Amino acid sequence: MSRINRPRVEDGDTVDATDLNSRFTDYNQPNALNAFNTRDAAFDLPQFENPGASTFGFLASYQNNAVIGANDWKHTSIVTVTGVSSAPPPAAPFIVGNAAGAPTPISLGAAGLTVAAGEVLRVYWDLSVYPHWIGTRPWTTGASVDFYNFDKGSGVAMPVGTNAACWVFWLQWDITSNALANFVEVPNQSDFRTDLYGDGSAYGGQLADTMSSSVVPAYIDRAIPDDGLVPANPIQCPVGWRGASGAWYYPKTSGSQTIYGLRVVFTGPMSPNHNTVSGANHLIHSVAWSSDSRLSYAGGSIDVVKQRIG
Amino acid sequence: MKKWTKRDATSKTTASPAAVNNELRASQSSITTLDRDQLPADVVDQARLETYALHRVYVVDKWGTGEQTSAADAAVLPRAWKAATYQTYSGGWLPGVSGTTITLTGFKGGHLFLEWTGNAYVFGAMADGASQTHPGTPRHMRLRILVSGVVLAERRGPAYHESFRIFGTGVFPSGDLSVQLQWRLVEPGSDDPIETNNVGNNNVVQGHLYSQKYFAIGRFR
Repeated sequence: MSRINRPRVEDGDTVDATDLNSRFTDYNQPNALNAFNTRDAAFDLPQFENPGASTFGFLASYQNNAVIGANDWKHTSIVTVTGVSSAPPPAAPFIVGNAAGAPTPISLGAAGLTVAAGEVLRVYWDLSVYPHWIGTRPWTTGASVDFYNFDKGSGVAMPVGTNAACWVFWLQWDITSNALANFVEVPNQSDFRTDLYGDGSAYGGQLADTMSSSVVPAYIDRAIPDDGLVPANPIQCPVGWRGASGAWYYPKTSGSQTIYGLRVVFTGPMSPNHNTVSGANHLIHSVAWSSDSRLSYAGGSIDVVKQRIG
Repeated sequence: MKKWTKRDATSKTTASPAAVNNELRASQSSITTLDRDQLPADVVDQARLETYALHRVYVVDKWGTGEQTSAADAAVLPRAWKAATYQTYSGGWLPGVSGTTITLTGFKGGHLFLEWTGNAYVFGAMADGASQTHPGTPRHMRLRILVSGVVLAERRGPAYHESFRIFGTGVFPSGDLSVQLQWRLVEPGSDDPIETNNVGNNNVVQGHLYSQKYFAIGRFR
């Protein structure tokens, strides 16, 4: 509806005929029975209920969902992978699939889904996951970067996990055809295979390129600190089955983009790192104990909603 | 349609003031109470819909760099992020991305849904100090959403290194809305070592936020 946006007349103001007429017009116009007030900018439920014309057009114009992973909530036919090996560059990410190993992407139809200017795509997904490991606190061994040394007493080092190592899940899309054979990372998302320092010492991605990423802890370490010291060995705690979930937005302000499918992929274990010169924060492959790291997953779902921005 | 005319004017009758006034009043009433329910069902469609007439989406798919920078300590080991330590974080609520103000412009009044998503890390290994009685100091990345200074949603937040999605809904008056997305760490316990034995920069990162983005939708009718 139209609105009046005019300051009131204050003491001492001069009010002439033009001003009075303008003010009178203002107060008539918002309630005028013109096309703008009664049609374009004001309507009500009966119009929304117009079958086939309104319900899926004004707010959300498209909705779809699919089951991903090994859809077994009893965890009897799960998928388990071992952490990415130390051979650089790191292997391509694991693709979330069913118990037989077949990927479980969501298809957006033979013609794909076109996101036009003034529209936004919202993607939500969830997956039942179980990070675990073999051995005892393998993240504290060898060249691992997943622990700090604290003072056990008298300057003796006691390793305690940073609890930052994680498995990373993210989205890929296919924008070429509904054959769904050309998946690449969605915008603002790294594939975590970049040689960050150019010398092969660390592969991963910058945190600024993780906008569709969701993480779950690869392990949990628990210490019993005592007056600034860590005198006893920390305890490894099971991470257990938990729900990983993610959200991603794709607003389109100009042009259009047709999307044929989306899928969830993952890699790990990954660890924090920062460039001491540039200050950039990274997630890098934690290869020192990756062969001891495991991730199991069962089922989940992915949901896609397209709607108008205004 | 509603009846517009209270009485028909006929010739050779006396027009009383009441007759004129009643007629005018009936006409005005018919106009001002015209029900949109009486309009044709297809009077409006997507093409005719005025932008932001029904709703308005406010979406940022990458909030700044997506990272928390309000308390970023460079005096940490390379195996850690340049992030919040107890040396740089002195408590209280801080913005998810430093220096950014979120304004939901042109909010016309009505229902607001707002969600904030990303990843959060908390160093929780020192939560069970020997000198403390239970429950110790469990660590969380506490999160809250303020709209015009009022809490829309508040959560205890992640306890490890995991993703988060916090959302809230409310009814707000018309006008631009100011939004703040804030985080807060749990203060250290009395037993906490907050520096490592490693050689070099050795403050301990206590928490971080990244992959931050937000989505809001105002529904005005």
